[in-house]
Amino acid sequence: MTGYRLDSTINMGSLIDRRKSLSFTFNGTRYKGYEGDSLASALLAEGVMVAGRSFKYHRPRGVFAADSQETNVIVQLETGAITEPNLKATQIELYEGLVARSVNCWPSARFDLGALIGLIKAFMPAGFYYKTFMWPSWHLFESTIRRAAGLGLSPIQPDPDRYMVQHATCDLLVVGAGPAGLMAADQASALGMRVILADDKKQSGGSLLWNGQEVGGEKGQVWAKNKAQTIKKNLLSQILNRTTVVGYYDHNFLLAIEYLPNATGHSPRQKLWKIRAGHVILATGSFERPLVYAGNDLPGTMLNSAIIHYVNAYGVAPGECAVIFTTNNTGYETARVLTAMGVTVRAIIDTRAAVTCEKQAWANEQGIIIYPHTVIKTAKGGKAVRSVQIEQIGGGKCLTLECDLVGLSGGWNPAVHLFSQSGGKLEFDDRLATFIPTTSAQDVTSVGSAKGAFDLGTCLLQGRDAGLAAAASRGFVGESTEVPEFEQWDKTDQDMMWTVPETSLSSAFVDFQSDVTAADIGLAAREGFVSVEHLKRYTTLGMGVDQGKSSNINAIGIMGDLTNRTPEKVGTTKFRPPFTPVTMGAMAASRPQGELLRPRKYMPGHNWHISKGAHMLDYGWQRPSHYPIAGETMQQAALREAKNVRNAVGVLESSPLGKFEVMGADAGKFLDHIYVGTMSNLKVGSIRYGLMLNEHGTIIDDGVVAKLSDGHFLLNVSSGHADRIMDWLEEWRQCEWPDLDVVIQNVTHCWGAITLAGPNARAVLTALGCDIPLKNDQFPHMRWRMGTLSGFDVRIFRVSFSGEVSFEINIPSNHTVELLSRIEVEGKAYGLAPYGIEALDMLRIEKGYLLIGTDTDSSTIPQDIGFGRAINKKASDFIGRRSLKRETALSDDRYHLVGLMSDQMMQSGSHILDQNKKSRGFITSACFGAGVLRPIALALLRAGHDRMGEKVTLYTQGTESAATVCQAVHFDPDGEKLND
Amino acid sequence: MTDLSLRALKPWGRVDSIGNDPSQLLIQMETFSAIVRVTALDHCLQNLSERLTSIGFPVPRVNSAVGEEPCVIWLSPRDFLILHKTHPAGDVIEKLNSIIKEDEALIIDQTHGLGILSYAGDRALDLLSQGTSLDFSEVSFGKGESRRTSFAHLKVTIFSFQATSTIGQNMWMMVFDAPYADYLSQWLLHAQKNIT
Repeated sequence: MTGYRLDSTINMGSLIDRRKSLSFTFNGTRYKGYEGDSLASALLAEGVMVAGRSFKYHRPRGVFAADSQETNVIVQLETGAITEPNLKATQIELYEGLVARSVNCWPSARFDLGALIGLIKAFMPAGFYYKTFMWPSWHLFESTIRRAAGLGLSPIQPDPDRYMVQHATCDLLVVGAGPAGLMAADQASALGMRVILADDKKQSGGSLLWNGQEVGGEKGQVWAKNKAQTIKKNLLSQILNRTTVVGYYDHNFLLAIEYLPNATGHSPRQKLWKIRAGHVILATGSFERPLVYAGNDLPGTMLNSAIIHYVNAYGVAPGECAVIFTTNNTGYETARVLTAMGVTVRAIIDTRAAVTCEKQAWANEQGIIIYPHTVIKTAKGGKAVRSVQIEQIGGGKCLTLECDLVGLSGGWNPAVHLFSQSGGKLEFDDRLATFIPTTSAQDVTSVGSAKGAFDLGTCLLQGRDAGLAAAASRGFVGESTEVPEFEQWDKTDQDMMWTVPETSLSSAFVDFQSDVTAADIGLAAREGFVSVEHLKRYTTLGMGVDQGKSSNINAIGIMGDLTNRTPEKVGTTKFRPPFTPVTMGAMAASRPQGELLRPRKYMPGHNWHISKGAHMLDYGWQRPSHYPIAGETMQQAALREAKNVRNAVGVLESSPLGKFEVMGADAGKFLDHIYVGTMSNLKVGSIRYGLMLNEHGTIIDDGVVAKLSDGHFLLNVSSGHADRIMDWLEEWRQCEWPDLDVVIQNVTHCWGAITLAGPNARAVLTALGCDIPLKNDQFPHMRWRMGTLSGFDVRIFRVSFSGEVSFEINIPSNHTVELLSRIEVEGKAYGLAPYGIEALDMLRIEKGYLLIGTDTDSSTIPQDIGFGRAINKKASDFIGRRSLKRETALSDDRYHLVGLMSDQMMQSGSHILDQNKKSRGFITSACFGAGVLRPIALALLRAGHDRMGEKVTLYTQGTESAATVCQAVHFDPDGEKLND
Repeated sequence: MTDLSLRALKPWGRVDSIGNDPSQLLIQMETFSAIVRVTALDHCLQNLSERLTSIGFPVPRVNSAVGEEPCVIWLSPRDFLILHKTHPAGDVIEKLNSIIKEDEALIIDQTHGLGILSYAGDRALDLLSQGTSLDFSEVSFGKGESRRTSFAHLKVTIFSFQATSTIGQNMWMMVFDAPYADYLSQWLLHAQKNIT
C-alpha cells in the first residue's frame, strides 16, 4: 500500500485544515501532517505502510481502522515522564512536535528481529506455553515470559501532568453524537431536560463527519454542526466532545474521560467525569467486521469504512490500486468513494450470489469488475499486500489480482459494550449476523446502529423517539422535533460469513493484535475450550488493547460452526470497563499527588510545635516525631526527650486522642456491651481502662472511660482509630440496640489535649495556678477533675501512657496554644521539655503499654495480652465474648504478648526462632529503654506466657541475635512511679 | 480562633476569586461566634420543635437549614447544628438549657471544632462539583436545603444559605472538621486552578 494525500482540488478532507501544517516524529523520522489529522491519517498520507508489529509473531501491520477499533497501530506517545503506552494511532490528534514510536519491535517496525519468531510459528499455537513450560517448573520460565508480555513501557518518572475529577448529574446522558445521538439530545433538550451529550470526537456528527451522506438537504457534517449548536444554546444542556464514556455502573453511574487539548502549566490534561444520569441513551454506533482469510493481516488491508473515513475526513487515499472484499453494500460505497478520488478499484469481491442490475451497470461504467459469490482465498505480500487470490464459493477458477489496498467488510457489529456493562441482555440477530441489545437492566435505551439500525433514516427516527420517551418518562412533554430528510443507504442486505471457505486457517487472523488465528480457535475447540470464556483465556482472543472490538463476533461465529452451536448459544464474553484504555493518572484523579493525596489533619498547637523545632510526621495527624537539637538523630532526640520525662517533666500535645461523649439512661449498659471491662459501675470522677473487641473476639481498640456525671461518660479511643470507632459505636447503637436510651457525640476536635508527664508534672501544674487539689490522695491515678488551670476552664485526667505521673489536660481547642506557651514558661524551672511520638513510643514500650494494631494483630484476643481474668470476672455480655470460648481461643499455643531483653538493639518484625529455626513469633515494638537503659522489645510469641526467662534466637534480614523472654512490663512493674 | 485556624485558614481570611472577578468565584471563611450541636435523646424528641420555637430558634425540616441568626441545620432526626454570628456559644447553650433538661440531650460547643466556608459566584458549582457528587441544581438542592456528604474525601455538611452572598448570588456553606482546614484550603486552591 502506498497511501498519499489527495490533491486539495479533489478532496480537502472534512476534518483537516490544510492551511495549518504540523510536523511530527514517528519511529525517529520526521513527517508532516495537518491540523485535524489523526496520527494514523498522517502516517497513511506520508505512505507509512508498516506502522506496527503484532504481539506474538511480530508480523508487520499497517493501519486497519479509523477509530477505537484500531488493533494494529498501537504506539508509545512521547518520551520521559509524559510518555504514554498503548495508544491507538487512530485516536491520537496530531499536534506540532508529536513524538511517537511503534511498540513491540526492535530495532524498528519495518525491520523487526522479533519477526524471526514467525519461523517457528508452527510450534507456537494457542496455549503452547501452558503446555511447554510446565516441565520442569513453570517458575523457571516465568520471569522471561513475564518480561516478554505486554506492550509499551510505563513511564518510570513521576507524571508531571494534572488530572481532575468532575461530578455531574443530568436528566439524560446521550453517549455518542452521531445522527441518532444528536436527534435524541436535541429532542430531550428542547423539552427542558438537563442533557449531557458525550462524544469521543473533537466534533459532533459521528459517521456524518466522514461518510458524505446528506441530511436535511445539506451535508451531514453541516447538519450535525447546526444541531450541536442548537443543543448548546440550551443552558441546561452541555456537549462534551473529546470525551469517551468508558464505564457504565449501577444506578446509571457512568465514567467518562475528557481529553483536554493543549494542557500546559496548571491546566489538567484529562478530566474524569463521574456522571449520574436519570436516563441514558446509547448512540454508540457500530464497528465494521473484518473478513477472515489467509493473509488478511498484511499491511494494506483495511476496513471499508476506514477507507471511506480516511478519504473523506482526511483527504488521504490509503492506496493506489484497490480490491474490495465485502459481504454487504458497504463495499460498493467504498468503491464509489475511491473511484471518485481517482483511485483504481480493480474488483469488488462480493460473497453474495446476486448483484443488482443497478450495481452492475454502475461498475461497468467505472470499469470495475464485480465477482459475485466469490471470496478472497489468500492475500500475498511481505511487508505489504501485493496481490489477492480469489475463488468462487464452492470451487471454481482461481484468479490472482494485483493490488496494494484491500478493503474488507464482513458486516457491522453494534457497539454494545456500555449496554452490556449496564447489565443489559444481548441477543443474536440472524438477519444482521451480530448481537444486538434487547432487555435493559437500567434506565437505558440503545438507538441507531448501536441497536442494529444501520440506515440513516431509522437512526434519526430512533434517536428522536428515544429523546421523546426519555423526556416523557421524567415528566417533560411537548412537541416532537422534525426528522430531516436523509440519503438512504442500505447496509442490511448481507451474507453471514465467519471464515472464508477453504482458506488456510493457520494464517487467517481473527484477532490481529494477539495473533489469534482461525486455526487457534479450532485447536481450542478440539481441546475442549468451547466455552467463550475459556476460548478467550486459552487463545488470548480479545485481550489486547482493542478488547476484541474487531475479533470477538467472528470468533464466536467460528466457534459456533466448529461445535454446531448458534452464536447465540456460544454467547459473548463479559464486556467490562473500560471501553478504551484509561491512564492511571485519570483513574486516580481524585487523589492529587503530593500533600493532597489524602486528607491531612493538623493539631491545634501545630505552629507551636514548629516554633519549638519539631520534626512533623504523619501519624494519622501531623504530629511531632521529635524535637532535634544540634544535629541529633531521631533516636538520639527521642532518647533525650524520654529520659527527661523519666527524670523531670515532659509536655506532649495529645489532642488527636479520640474523645466521645456518651449520654443517656442506658449509657452504662451500652458501654458494658462495648467494652470487655464493666463501665456501668464507675463512680463519677473515676476512670477505667477498657478493651473493645469485634464479633470475632479480636481486639480492635483500647482506651479509658471517664464518668462525667450520672449517665454521662467520656470515652478516649486511639487517635488513629477514632473515626472508625465512632462509626462502629453508631452502628451498634442504631442498628443492634436501637432500644437503648443513649446518644453519642464525637468531641475530639472541640478539645485540645496537653499531657504533662514526669516526676515534676505536679509541680508544673501548681506553678501554673491550678484550683484542683493535686496531691496523690486527693487526685489519684485513674481519676479526673474539673477546674481552672492558669485561668482556663479545664478537665484534667490522671492517666498515663508513659509510666510516669501524668496529667492529661483537656481544654477548649482554641486555648491550646496559649496554654502550651504558659506551660513552657512555668515549666522551665522544673526541667520541662516537649517530647514527641518517638519518645512516647519508648516510654510506653518500657512500661508494657500496647498499641492496638502495632502490638496486636487481627487475631489477638484479650487472653493473649493477659486480660483473661477480666473476662472471667465480668458477668454481663459484651461484643466478642462468645468468640473467646472457641477452641482456638482457648488453645495454649496462641501468640502471647511478652517482653524481650537483649544486649543488642532489636528490630520490629524480627522473627523469634525455635530450635528448628521455625518462626514462633515476632517482635512488634522495639527500642532502647530510657528508664532501664538497655534494648527492650514487645513481641507476640507462641505460648509466650509460659516461656519467661527462656533464651530465644531472633532473626532479621539474614542475621541472628539472642534475647531473653521476660514480662512485657520492663519499667516500674509495681507502678510505684505511676502512683507517686 | 485557634492558632490552627489562623494558620490553616489564612488563605481564606481574604476574598479569593478567579481573575479578580468575585462574580466568578468567591470563597470565604465564615466566622461564627457559636456553633452548637444538639443531640437529643428519645424522650426529648417529642416536642423539641415547639421548645426550640419558644426560644426563637427556627426548626429545620429534614435535610434543610433554616434561618440566618441563628441558622439551624438538620443533621439527623436527633441532631441539629446551631450557628450564630453574634451570640457567643455560652449564650446559645444557656438558652438551650432553659428548654432542654440536662438528661434530655447532649449539647456541645463545637465552635472551635468545626470550620465553615462559603462559596458563591458563577464558577462556584464548577469548583464544588470537583469534590462531591451532589447535584446542586435548583430542583435537587434548593435554597435552604442541606446535605451530609463527602467532599474532597472529608465528611462535610453543605447547605444552601438562606441569604444571598455579598455579590448578590446564591451562597453555599460547608461545615467541616477544623483540623482539616489546612488540607481543605490547599485542596480548594488546587481545584480552583483546574477551572481557571
